[in-house]
Amino acid sequence: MVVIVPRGELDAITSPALAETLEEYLGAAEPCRGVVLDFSEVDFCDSRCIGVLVAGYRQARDRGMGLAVASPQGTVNRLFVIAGIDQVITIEEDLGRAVKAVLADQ
Amino acid sequence: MTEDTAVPTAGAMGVRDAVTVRMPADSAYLSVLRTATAGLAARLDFTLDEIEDLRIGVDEACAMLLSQALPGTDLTTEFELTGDGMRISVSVLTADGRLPARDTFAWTVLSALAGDVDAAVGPDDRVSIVLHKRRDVVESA
Repeated sequence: MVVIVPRGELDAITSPALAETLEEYLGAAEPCRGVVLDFSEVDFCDSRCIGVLVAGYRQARDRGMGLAVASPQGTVNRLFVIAGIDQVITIEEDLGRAVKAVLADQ
Repeated sequence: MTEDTAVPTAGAMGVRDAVTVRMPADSAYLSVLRTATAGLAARLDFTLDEIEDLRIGVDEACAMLLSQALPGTDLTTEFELTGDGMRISVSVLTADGRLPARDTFAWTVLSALAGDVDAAVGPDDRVSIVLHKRRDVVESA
């Protein structure tokens, strides 16, 4: 089980780095139980970032791993809701609940 | 945060309330433009949610256009105050004058956030995306 803590703004420039980090764990030869993305220090996110999250969710699901987002800031969570990804990906208000959700999601 | 500096009024003294920001057509400058957008919107009585909508909307429009901008050219963003909101036009010079695809997730996000959105091609294959965000008007007695 891995917790990834991205910081700053996730846009067209920076989101690929998040995708690479996710791939490191979701694509690992020996999969872990799952990944929590602690978004508490992300203050901007756009469609590119959401695309990375959805791709990560699919990859995790296909490999039998869990994936959840924890503690998004209000503005970021608002975009998640507008874009509808809160209906697909587990998004929890705090890290503890996100970790539990991933561990339960086996 | 409050500021007492004057906020321009649309049409005051016949002055066109427009600000143009020009920067290299390179996504490294996206964050600069987002900051400029939020700063301008904050001066115009937009709510915090509307400011965030504009910040994301401009980011999406620019990211779309930058993928087809001619290397070494500029990305031009014009902010214009309208009676009921702000019109933002983002444009780049392109090789083929192709309009951005509307069946993408980015376009869905853009149109959900930015109010009226349109795209057009002008002279020299200049492609632009225009956002018109209306202020959420609260009627006062």
